[in-house]
Amino acid sequence: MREPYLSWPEAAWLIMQFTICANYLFMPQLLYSMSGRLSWAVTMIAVLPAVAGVWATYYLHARFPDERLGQFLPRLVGRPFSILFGSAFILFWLGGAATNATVFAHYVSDTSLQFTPVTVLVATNVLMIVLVSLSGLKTLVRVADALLFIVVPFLLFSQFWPFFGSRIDLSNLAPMRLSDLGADKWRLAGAALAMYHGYQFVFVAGPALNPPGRSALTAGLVGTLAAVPAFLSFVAMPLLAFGWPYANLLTYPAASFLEVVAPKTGLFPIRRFDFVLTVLFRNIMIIAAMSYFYSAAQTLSDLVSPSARRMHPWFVAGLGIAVVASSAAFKGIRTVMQFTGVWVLLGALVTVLTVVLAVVARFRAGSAGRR
Amino acid sequence: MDSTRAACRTAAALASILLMMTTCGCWDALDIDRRAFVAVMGLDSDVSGEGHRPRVSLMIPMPGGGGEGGAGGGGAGGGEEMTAKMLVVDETGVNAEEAVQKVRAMVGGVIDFSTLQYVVTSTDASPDDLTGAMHTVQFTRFIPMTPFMFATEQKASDLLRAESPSGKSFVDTLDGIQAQSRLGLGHVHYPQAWETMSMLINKTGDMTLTLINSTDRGDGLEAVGAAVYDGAKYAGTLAPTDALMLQCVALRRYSGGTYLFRGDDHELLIRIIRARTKVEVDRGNADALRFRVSMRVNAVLMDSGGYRLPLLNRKKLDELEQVAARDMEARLGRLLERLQGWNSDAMRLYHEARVKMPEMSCEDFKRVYPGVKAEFSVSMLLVRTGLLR
Repeated sequence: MREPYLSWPEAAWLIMQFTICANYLFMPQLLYSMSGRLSWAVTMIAVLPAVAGVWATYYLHARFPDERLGQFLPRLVGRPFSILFGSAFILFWLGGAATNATVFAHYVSDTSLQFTPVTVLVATNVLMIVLVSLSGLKTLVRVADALLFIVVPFLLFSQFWPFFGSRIDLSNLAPMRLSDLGADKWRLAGAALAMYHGYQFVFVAGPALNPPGRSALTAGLVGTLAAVPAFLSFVAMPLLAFGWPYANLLTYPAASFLEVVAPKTGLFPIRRFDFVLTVLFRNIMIIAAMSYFYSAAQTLSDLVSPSARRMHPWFVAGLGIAVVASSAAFKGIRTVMQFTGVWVLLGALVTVLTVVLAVVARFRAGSAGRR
Repeated sequence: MDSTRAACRTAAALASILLMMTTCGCWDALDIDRRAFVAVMGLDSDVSGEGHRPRVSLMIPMPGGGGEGGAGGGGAGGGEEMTAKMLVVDETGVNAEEAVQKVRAMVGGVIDFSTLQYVVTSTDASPDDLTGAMHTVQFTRFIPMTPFMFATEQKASDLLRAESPSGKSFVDTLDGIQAQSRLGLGHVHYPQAWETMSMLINKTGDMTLTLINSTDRGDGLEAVGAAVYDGAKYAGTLAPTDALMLQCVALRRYSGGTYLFRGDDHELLIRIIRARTKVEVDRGNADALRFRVSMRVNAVLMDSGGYRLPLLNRKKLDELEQVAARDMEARLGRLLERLQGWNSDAMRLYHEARVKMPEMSCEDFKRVYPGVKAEFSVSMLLVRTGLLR
C-alpha cells in the first residue's frame, strides 16, 4: 500500500472544481427553465441533500477506508447489485465527462473558434483527460493543485467584480413567487439532489486521503460549501444583470454575464476579457471532466478486476475515444442541453444511491473491513 | 525507481497544464489580413411597394488602404499620411441576416463581427426592423453583446459615410463625443446593445438613444439630443438639456453635464458632478398612479459671463441652489408631460411600479401612463468653482 498523499484541503479544492465543472455553462438555463427567476434559491436549497450525501460518503469511507467504490460494492450489496449500482455511478460520471467536454467545446465554437469542428474541440479536451487518467490519480491531484493560484483569483474576481461594475439591478429578482419552485417540482427536486455531487470523488480518492476518516468529511463539506457561492453567482448574476425574461433567452447566461461586466481592456488581443476568463474556466472544466472520467474508468476497472494495480492503458484510451464518439451524437448545444436534463436526473439517482449504500453499510456490519 | 516514477508524474502534470493552455483548437489559421473587421453597423428601413425592409450598413476599416466604394476616414497624424480607409457597404434583405449574407458576397475575406463597437439606428427604422436586427445582433454567434447604440435622424448608411475634417475616424469621433459630454451638455450616453435589448424584452421602461447627426456642412458628427422610444417605435426628439435631465432620471445615477438656468438676473451655468435619483411609487389606485422622483445633485457653479461670487459667503450660493433646483423640477415636470404625450416611459417609472405592483403588466401601465402624476423634488449641493485670481 502506498503512502496516502491527499490532504483534506487538496481534496476540498478538487471536490469544489468537480462540483463547479462546466455547470456555469449549462446549469443556469436548466434551472431557469424549471423555476424561472427564483432559480437562484435552488442553489441554496440543494445544500441540504448535499450535506446528506457528504455524510453518507464519509460513512462509507470510514467503513471501507482502503477501498474504492468498485472494490467495496460487491461485498456490500452482492455481485448483481454491485453491477447495477456501479453502472449508475459509471454512467453518471461518464455522462459528466462527456457533457463537460462537449458543452465547453460548443461554447468555444459559438464564441471564438467558429471554423473549428466541435468534434476536434472535444477531442483536444478528451486528449488531456485521457493523458492525466493514464498517469494516475496523483497526477490529477497535482494538476488540480497547480491550478489553485491560476484559477482562484479569477474565480473570485468574476464573483465580486460585478458588484463594483454598476451592472447589477437587485430589483430584477422581484417579484419573488414561491409558486415558481412548484412549476416543475420533480425535475427541480432532481436538479437539487444532483447539484453538489463533487463529494462523490471520495469514493475513488478515499484510500489516498491522509489522514483517512474525518478528513473525508471535512473535505466534502468544505469543498461543497465553497461551491455554493460559485453556483449562486452563476445562476443569480445573469438575472441581476439581464433581468427576466431576457436572461432566459440567452444560450449561456453566465458566460454572457461575464462578457457584459468584464472591464474594458481595449488592447488587442485581450480585447474581450471574458475570453480570458473562458480560458481559465476551461481549466476547471478539464479538472472536473478528468475527475468524472477517472472515477468512471477506475470504478469500471475495479468492478471488472478488483485486484488490478492499475487501469489498463488501452482501456482508458478506448473509453476516451468512446466519449469523443458519443459527443458526435450531440447535434448542437440544444441536444447537449436535452441530455443534461437527463444527466441531472441520473445524478439525483446516484445521490439517493449514496445514501442508500450508507444505510445498507450501517445495517450490514459484517461487510466492513479489508478483503 | 520511485524517483523515476515521480519525475515522470511531474513531467506528465506539467505537460497536461501546458496542453490546457495551448490546445484551444485553432483549426484553420485564418490570417488577420483575410478578415474584414466590422466597426460600426447601421440599421435603416427601406419602404417600397413590398412594405418595409431592413437595410444594414457595415463600416469596415481597411488598414492597408485601398477602400473602394466607401468613405474615407483617413487623415494626417504626426506629419505622416495615414492610409487607413473605411469601406462602407449596405444592403437590404427580408431581414438583417439576409442583408448581411448579401454583404458577404460583396466583401472579400471573412466578415468578422467580433470587433463591432457601435450600432446606429435611423429614427426612420420601423419597430419590427429594429427589434429583428437587435435580436440578430444579440443572439447571433460571434457578435459581442456590448457594442454601443445610438440613433440618427438621417439615413444610417449616409451617416456612416460622413468624413471628419480632423482626420479622426468615425469611431474615434463617437468615442470623443461621449468623452467630452460630461464637460459639455452632458446628454450623450450610449447604452450597450444588451441594455437596449433588455429594455425591449423585459419591458421595464422605454429606451433613450443619443442622437448623432452629421453637421449641416457635412464635415463631421454632432450630438443633437436624444431620441425617445415607445417600445421599439421612435416617439420623439429631445433637446440636449432635456436629454441630460432625462438621463439623470432614467439611469438613476448619472455623471452629469452642464446645465443653464436664470438666476440673480444672469444666465448662469452649473456643472453637474453627480446626480442620483430615487423613484418611489405610491401603492394605491392603479388608475391614478403617483410617483415621487427625488434627485440629489452635486454641482459646481461656473464663473460664467463674468459672474463671480465671494469665496466665503454661501448665502448667494444657497439662493442659487434653490433657484436651480426649482428650475430643474419645472423642467422635469414639462418633460414628463411631453413623454406622456408620446406614450414613452423613457424615465423608466414602470421599473419601480413593477416591483410594488407585480400584478401590473407593462401594457397595463402604458394604458394608465398618460394619467400618471409625478412629484419631482430636486435637492442640490452647489459649490463655487475656481480660485480668486
